[in-house]
Amino acid sequence: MASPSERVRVIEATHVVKHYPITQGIVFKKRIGSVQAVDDVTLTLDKGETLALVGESGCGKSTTARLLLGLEAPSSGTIVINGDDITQLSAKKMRAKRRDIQIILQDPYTSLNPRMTVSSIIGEPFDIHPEALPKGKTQKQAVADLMDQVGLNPEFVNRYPHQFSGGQRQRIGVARALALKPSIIIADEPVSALDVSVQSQVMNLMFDLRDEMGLSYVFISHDLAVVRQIADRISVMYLGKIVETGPQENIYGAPAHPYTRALMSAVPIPDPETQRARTRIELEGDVPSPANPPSGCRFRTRCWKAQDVCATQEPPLAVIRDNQLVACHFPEQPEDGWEHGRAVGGEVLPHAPEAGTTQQDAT
Amino acid sequence: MSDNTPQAYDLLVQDADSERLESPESGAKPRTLKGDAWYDLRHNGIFWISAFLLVFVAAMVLFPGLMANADRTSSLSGGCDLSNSLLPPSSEHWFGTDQLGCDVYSLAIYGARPSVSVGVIAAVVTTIIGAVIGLVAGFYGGAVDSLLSRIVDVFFGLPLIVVGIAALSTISLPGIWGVTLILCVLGWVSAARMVRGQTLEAKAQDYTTAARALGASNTRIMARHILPNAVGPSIVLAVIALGGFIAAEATFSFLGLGIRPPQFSWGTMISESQPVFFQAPWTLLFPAAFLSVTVLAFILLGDAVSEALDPKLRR
Amino acid sequence: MAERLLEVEDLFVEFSTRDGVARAVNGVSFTVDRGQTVAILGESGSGKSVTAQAIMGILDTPPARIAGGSIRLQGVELIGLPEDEYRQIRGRRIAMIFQDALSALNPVISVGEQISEMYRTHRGMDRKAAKHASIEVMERVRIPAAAERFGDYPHQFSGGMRQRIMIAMMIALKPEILIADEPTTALDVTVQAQIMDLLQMLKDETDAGLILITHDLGVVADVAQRILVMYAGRTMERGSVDEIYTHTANPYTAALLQSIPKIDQKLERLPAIKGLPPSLYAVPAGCAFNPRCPRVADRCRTGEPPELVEVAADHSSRCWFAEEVLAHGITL
Repeated sequence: MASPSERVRVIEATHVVKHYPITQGIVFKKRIGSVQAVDDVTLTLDKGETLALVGESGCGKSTTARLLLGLEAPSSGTIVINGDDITQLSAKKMRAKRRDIQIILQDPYTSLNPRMTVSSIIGEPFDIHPEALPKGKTQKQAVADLMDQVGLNPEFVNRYPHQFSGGQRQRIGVARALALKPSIIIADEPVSALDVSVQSQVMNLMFDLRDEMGLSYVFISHDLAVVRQIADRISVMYLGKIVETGPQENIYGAPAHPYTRALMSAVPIPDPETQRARTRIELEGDVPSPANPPSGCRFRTRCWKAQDVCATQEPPLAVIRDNQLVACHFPEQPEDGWEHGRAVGGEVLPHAPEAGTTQQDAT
Repeated sequence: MSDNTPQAYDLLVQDADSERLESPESGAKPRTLKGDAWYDLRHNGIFWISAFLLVFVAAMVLFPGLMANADRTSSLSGGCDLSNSLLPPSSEHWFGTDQLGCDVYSLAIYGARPSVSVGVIAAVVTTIIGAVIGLVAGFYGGAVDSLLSRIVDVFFGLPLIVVGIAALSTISLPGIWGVTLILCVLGWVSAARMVRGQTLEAKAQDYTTAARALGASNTRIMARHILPNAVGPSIVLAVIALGGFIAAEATFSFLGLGIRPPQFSWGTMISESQPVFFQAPWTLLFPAAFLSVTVLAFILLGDAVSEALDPKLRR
Repeated sequence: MAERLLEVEDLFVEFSTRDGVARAVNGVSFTVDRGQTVAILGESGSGKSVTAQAIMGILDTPPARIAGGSIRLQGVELIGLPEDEYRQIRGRRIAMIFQDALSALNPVISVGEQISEMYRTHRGMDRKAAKHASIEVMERVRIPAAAERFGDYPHQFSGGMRQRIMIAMMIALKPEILIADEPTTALDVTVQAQIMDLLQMLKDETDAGLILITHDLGVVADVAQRILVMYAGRTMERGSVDEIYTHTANPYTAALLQSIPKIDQKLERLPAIKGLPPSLYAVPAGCAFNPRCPRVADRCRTGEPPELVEVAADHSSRCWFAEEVLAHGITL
């Protein structure tokens, strides 16, 4: 990692908001509410760094990815990629900007056009941006090089996606993302849909590419075990807000937000003895609807520590210790029974059925 | 284990060789989507029946002269002898003769061309119109979609035959072109709705997102990503619609609104057989049979193609 | 114990398709006792789901075919049972939940009705009694405000809630065997924890046997007592979870355990298993895992695959080098 003086900021997203209006009516539409998919999110990424966005369904991480890629415009806020605010760019400039930031998608079965050959899929970036073709190489050669780089046999260049396995298709997706030599890659759950024995292969590929090409990653995932291996910094999202953010060691070593703790303690560890010795924090109920989030702190309906102030005042994202920020009125302290990735012994945290069921929003 | 790193990729490249990419019995030939569809078609009995029938239909349309004698269809050329009026089927006239003494068999063969041509032209044109409208509506969404969809709904509510009758009664376009025009103007709705639906589906797919992220223009996305994936069901629809259009033309001609004498089609033949049906049922039965079988053949073909394409679309 | 609750012996299931004949289940045996949770662990193509479907008798019989073996529920043979008798067993004595609750539930019938259906069909209850029983079972699976939600439709529930509804339907008639096929794969991790706890609790209440089908080694460590590791249709290892996780005797299991990312460890580089799970139409000769195995030797590549041998009490492994792996482990 570069020293502070050498750090180049590649992404600076400030106070980004994305609300989707809910409308009623067929011909004349009336706005009756909005889904607050992303609500005042600020994040940064430095060159060579990997930032993980972690959260469960409805937390807004995928929407954030689309906003960073410029696939959708935010309702408000600025997103600066390599020095340019993409919310202000003209369509033409945005197109050129696309070469800086690319995406790897989750589902290897739908992320490739079934009617295109591998050579067309990986070659498409060059069709759209002919200037990106490496000097002195034909498109065919460039595609073959990319296939080599991701560990695919270039002989199979004329085959169709359905002839490959999930892991191989994911590699095709990676090759496509690398074609334009982006500096930033957004990986949206890149290994979640793969077989267990293949996940590590693709993770290793991502490590290697990061080293070879100096890539910066925004790694989106719900899988905290995977995230731990690749992330330098982590931002935990819940219902459209970032509830905690900090360096990997801090987040796994001393998570401060109750949700982060609950999330981590829910991840099973493949070791029966360790697993049995763990204290599990079990959250009651389900995530409230993003169209109707709870007042004050959005997590309060499932939090075992919730007090009155949590309903009236939304906790701001504030520094709790160096580089670690948390949005909570009663953040967890390191001594509260935690041992690298899991809650242990000591204080047994309750199920908090009261907090879950009585204040539960309609699902 | 950093030692494994370069080896791991080499081995993966080799493993990619050994990984199954071909099915064991066929050896080196890889399976394509088209190949799979063709395999399914080949093994579907219905396909062969309809193909067999359509070969005959095609022969009738393209090379009627091989199967029948044009002279025997028209009094002008002297092939029809009034004195032979309404003769039952015989070795001389396989399907008998009509009121004018013309050979019903030859009439039926030559009658194929106008009927089927109208069907083909209408099917092609309506599919193109419908596809464009459906694609634009589905892709752009918003106000464009609302507007186009309302137009589609209006047209959808118009009963084809009734409106066709009204229109053909008023406009004075010559026979076969009038019918074709009306069918094209009214018949694109199903194709539009279908393509719109397929477009919406394709638009939501991850590969479209990926293309956008690459900076693909709307035109490129529509042409390379949406259209190829939306076109499958449209082809099935077009084939089945073809059958429907042939039947529609027959209906209009039957009512005297489409093709007019001295031109003839199966529809006009059926119409003209009305007054003499009881005396000479062959004047109705043969053209009606040809019509029904042809329409059926197209519909069966559409079914077979639909089955063959469908599971592949799921991949 | 004279007869086990469920005994699967030498089960063979084949699929005949245009691509050839695939042996989806290739000689699998295991038992389930009362109150026990047995996990069947495997990746794509391992045959784990097909095994479960064979037990339930819901295989699509062409193209699938049970080609051999025996499945005995308390001594009664299930294979070959006529359909009307199997229907008495399905739901009543053996019940199953699937990965995707949304597609398993009928979208146009209210959830309460769907649960009531179980009572009305199998217990002959009338509408009112069935409704009462349904609400009771909905409360057992901790669906809040069960009485009010009786009339709601599946799409009105979240993923976790829908899974609970499926579980309610599964336990309604207090079956002896519960089968859960990837029950939490589509759920968020916090919801996953709730559902697994619920399943355990319900199983304990009725002393039923639970067969858990999964690819998640962590979930197995959490809830299962015994495990069956499958690969390309074969059993690779079988035994108690405690034993196998700490002293594995099979390179595949060992490799899996080493390669998965763990939340309490950060590694610079992950040990990875090279290659891909094989297609069932082209299973490698000899041991199915040989192209990928870190311990592979010549004898693994040809001839018959190794037999399943017992390496310790209640611990079997299918590997020529099982004892060695047990003693020294493997390095990826």
